[in-house]
Amino acid sequence: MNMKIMMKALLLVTLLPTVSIAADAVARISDANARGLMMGSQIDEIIRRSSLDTNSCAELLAPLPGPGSSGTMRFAEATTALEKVSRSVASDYPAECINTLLQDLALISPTTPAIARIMSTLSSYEQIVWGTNTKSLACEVHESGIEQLLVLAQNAQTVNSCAPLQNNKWKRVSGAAAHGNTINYSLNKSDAGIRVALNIDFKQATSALAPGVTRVSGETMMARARGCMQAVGSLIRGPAGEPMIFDLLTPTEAARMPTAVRPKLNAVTIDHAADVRSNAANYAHDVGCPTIVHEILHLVGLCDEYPGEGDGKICRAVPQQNNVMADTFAAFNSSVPRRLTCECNTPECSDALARPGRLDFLKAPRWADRTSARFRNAFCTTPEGTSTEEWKAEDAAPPKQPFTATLSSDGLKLNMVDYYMNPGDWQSVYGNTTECTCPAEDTRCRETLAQIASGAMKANTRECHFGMQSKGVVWGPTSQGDVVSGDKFSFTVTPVSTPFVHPKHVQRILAGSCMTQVTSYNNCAKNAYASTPAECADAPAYCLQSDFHDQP
Amino acid sequence: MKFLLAFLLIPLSAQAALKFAMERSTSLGTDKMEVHDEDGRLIIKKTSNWFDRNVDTRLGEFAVQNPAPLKGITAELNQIEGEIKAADQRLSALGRDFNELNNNDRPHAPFFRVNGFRIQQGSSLYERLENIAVKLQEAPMKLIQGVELDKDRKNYVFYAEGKEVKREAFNARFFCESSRFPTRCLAREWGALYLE
Repeated sequence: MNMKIMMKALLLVTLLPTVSIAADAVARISDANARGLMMGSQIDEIIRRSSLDTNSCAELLAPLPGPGSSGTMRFAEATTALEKVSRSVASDYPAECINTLLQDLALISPTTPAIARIMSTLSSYEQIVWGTNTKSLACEVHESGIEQLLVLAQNAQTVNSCAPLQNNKWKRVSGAAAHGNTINYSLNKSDAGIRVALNIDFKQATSALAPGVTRVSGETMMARARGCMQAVGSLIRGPAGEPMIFDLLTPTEAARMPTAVRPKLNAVTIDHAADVRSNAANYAHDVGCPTIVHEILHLVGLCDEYPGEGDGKICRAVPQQNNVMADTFAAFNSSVPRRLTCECNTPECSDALARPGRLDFLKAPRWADRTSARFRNAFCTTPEGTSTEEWKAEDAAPPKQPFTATLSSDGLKLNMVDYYMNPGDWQSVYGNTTECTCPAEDTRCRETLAQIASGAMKANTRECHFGMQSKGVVWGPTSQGDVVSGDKFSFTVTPVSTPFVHPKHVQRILAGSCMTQVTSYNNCAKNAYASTPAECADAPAYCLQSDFHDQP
Repeated sequence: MKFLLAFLLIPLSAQAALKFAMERSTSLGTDKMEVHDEDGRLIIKKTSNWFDRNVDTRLGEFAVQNPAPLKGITAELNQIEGEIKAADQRLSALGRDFNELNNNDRPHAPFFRVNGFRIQQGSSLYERLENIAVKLQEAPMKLIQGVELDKDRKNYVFYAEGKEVKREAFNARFFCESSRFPTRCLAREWGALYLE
C-alpha cells in the first residue's frame, strides 16, 4: 500500500467514528444506517477523486452520492456532514478547488457552526498542509509521509498558482517571485479589466522624527500611493490592452474579501529620519510617485533592471528600452503626464511672466531635458557660459532659440547650446554650451547624439527655469494649460508616449508565483541580484542582451 | 611622496586581507564604502557620501590619518567573520549557505559585506557592523585620489597622489539628477554625491 493511500486510510479510520452530524441535508435523513452508508460512500468517493490525475474542479467537486440508490448531493452540502474529512480534501485537492468549495459552502450558510468550522479549516489550507496537524498525522504513519504530503501540497500549490484567471473570480498570489522575494497580492479579471489587489499596512518606522519634519500618517501615505498608481493607470495595461487597476487596500479593507482569496499583508514602514532612501518595505516620509510605483511593482514580482555591474550584480538583465524598473525617474519623465508649478523669487521675474513670448521660452526643453545626468557625466564637458543678449520687453520672439544642437560630420561630437533668461534682470538671455563626445565604438552613445541633433530625441523632462523655484509636481493626466497666478507659473508636460512597462512585466504580474510561465523573464530575473559567476552560471545568454524582454 | 603616503596608512593586523563594505543599490546606481586591508594597511574607498549623511563631499580612495579611534576594529571584524563562517559551515551541512539565505528581500536597503558574506538588516550582526561603520566614518581621512566638491559648491577639485591636479566647474543642472532631495550629483568616474 503506498503512503498516500495509507494516510487516507488512517484518516478515515480516525475520523469516521467522530463524524459530526450537523443540522443539514444529511441530518435530515432519519435512518441512521442509511445515513452511515451514504456518508461512507461519500467519503470513498472523495478519496477516489483525490487519487485521480486531474485538477478539474468540476470533476473533483461534482455531486456526491446522496439519499436513495441513485440520489446525489451537492459536494458542499455533503462536506458539512463530513466535517473532519475536510482535512483530507484540503491536503489532496488543488487549492483552486478549495476556493470553489469555500464559495459553495458560503452559499449554503456560512453562519452554521459546522460550515464555519469547515471554512475555517479549509481557508487555513496552508497552515494545515505545512503545519503541525498534517505533519504529526504523517509522522504517525511514517516519516517519509511528510515528504509525500509536502509533494502533494506543492503540486496543489503549483496547480493553483498556474491556473488561469477566471472571469469575475479572485485568485490569490502568495509565494516566491522569480528573483526570490515573497510576493503577496490577488488578481481578478472581469469585463471591466484586470484588478491587482495589494494589502498594505503602512506603519510608522521606529526611527525618530528628524528636526523640522512633519509626521506622515499611514492614511496619508496610502492616499499618496493610491494617487501615484492612479497617475500611471493608463500606462500599465493588460495583454489585450484592457485597464489594469491596482487596488491598494488597507488591512481593514482587505479583510472584507473572502479569506481564501484575500491578499496577504505587505508591511511597509514610513520613515521620518533624515536622508532616508526608500525601499519596498520602508518609505521615506517624503517619497514621491516615481519611487512609490517602482517599489509597489517590486511587491508584484518585478525585479530591478538598472545596471548592476557597479553593485557587483554581474548578471542583471538591463533592457535597451527604458522602463520603470530600470531608470525609474527617466521612465516617469518620459511617460507620465504631470503639472509643474514654478515660483518667481523677484518682482522682475514676476513682471517677465506677463510679457509676450516668455512663457513658451520658460518652459522650453533644453539639453538637460534631452540627456540624462548619467550621459552628460560620462560624455560631455562642463557647460560654459556665453555672452548675454537683450530681449526687448515688447518682443515676443527671443533673440536666441532656447536650444540648438550641431553634430560633427563624423557623428562623434555634438555641440549643444541652451539659452535661458538671465535671472539677474529677466530682460536678457544668456547661453550655456556643452560638447559631448562619444567613443567611436559606442554605438548607443552615437545614436543618442544623432537623435538629439535630428530632433528625434524626445524631450520629456522639464524643470523650472533658472531663477524660479519648483513648487511641486502633480503626476497624472490633466487638461489644464499654462496658468500664471501672481508670481507662480504652472504648465503641463505631456510626454510623447513611450512604454512605461514592457508587456513581459504585465505577463509576469499576471503569472504571480507560477514559475512555469513567462520563463524567459524568470530566467533573467532570478539572477538580478546574483553577485558571483557561480550564482548565475546557468543564466541564458539572452539575459545579457539588451533585448532580453523580447525573448519568446 | 609615496613613502610619506604609506606612512599615513594605518598598520593593521596582516593576518587576513579583510574587506568590509557598506553598500546600497537603487535605480540611480550604487552607493558604496569599502574598507580594504591591503598588506596590513587600511584603505577606504567611497563611491558615495550617502552613508556619512552628506557631510563629507569627497569621493575616491582615502588614507586614515589617525588610527587611534579605529583600534579594535580589525579584531571585531575578524570575530564577526568567524561567526559568519561558523554559521556558513553549519548551513553547508544542510546543503545551504549563508549568502543563499540572505536573499535580498529588501532590494534597495543598505547592507554590509564582510569578505564576500552579505549581512542584511535584521541580522544580529547588523548593528555591530553599523557601529564599526560609524567609527570608520568618524575617522579623519586624507583623500589620496578622487574628487572633492569644494565648500561653496562652485568646483569639483580632482586629486591624485594626495595633491590637487585639476578643477572643473560644478554645474548642478549638468551633473545632478532631476530636482529631488537629497539631489544626487554625479562626479565623473568617482561616483555620486548626495546634496541638500
